[in-house]
Amino acid sequence: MTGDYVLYNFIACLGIIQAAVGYGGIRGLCFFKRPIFAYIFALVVVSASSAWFFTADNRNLKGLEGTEQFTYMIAAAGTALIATVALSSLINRRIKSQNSPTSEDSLGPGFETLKHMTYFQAVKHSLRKKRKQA
Amino acid sequence: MITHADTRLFEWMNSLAGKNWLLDKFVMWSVNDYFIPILMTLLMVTLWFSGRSLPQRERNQRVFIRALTCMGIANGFVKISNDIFFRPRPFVGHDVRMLFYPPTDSSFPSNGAAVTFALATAVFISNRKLGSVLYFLCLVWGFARVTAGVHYPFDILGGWAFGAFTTLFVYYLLIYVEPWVTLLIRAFRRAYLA
Repeated sequence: MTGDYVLYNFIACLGIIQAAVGYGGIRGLCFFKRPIFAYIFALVVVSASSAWFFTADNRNLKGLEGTEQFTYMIAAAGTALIATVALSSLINRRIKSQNSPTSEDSLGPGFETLKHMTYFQAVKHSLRKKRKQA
Repeated sequence: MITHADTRLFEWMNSLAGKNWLLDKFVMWSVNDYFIPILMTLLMVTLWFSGRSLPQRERNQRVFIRALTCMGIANGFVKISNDIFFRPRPFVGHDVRMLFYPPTDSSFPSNGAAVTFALATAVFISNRKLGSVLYFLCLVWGFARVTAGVHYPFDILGGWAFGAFTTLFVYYLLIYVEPWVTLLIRAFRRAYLA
């Protein structure tokens, strides 16, 4: 039960994050170039994982407690975010040379930076900047 | 008087179970511990990432953190209430058509109703559209819990009152809560996660 629950949440979160970052234009976290593909991916992944989770077993039996559910949900969402960061950084590794702004100041904070570069590139960029300042 | 009205309403709603195959399927699908809570959580995950501009996204992320805080506090209030007051479930002492497993904890207030309503109220204050969707899901879950024989209607109403009260309480203390929210968002932003 716990394994099914965590896996379902992980897959569903992976899909929903794609739809949200596609809508928000956070290209550095997107697996796809066009947002429409991110929406389709989200729809397929969430529908398929829901169908699997709710039909694989009887879910109307005593299972996880509320607090356990919450804890596993956070763990699954966190893992989905890590997977998104790693996968999108690999898929979009050439994004920077084409899209990053010329001035460092034009990069916004947090997700705004990821509109122009991948997560790994942003971390590298930030470390380099800190080293220069030191 | 109130208990009598509650029991009568429960009996009427529970009498709907087992009569219509489609309604039974809908109730069995909605009543379980996973479907609606997961749906709500996925909507909350989208809230964290969505927003086309920085201020819009920051507003959404503030709502996200506040809503989670309200949810946690509502859960704590219900736990305290359950330690003080115990109401047996409807299937104890009544002839009930069960569409769900029989839980053993206190029936009043419904923990699920309190937690989800706290979340929906926190979101509704800042985002009417998403808040309305969450309120609708609360309504469906509450209806399903009563029809399936798990709660009395007043358990759900009590849960909603607990949830709404908690959110209003947190929003009243917002002046103290907000610096922590800002700090958290800044930390996530520094790690490129907000």
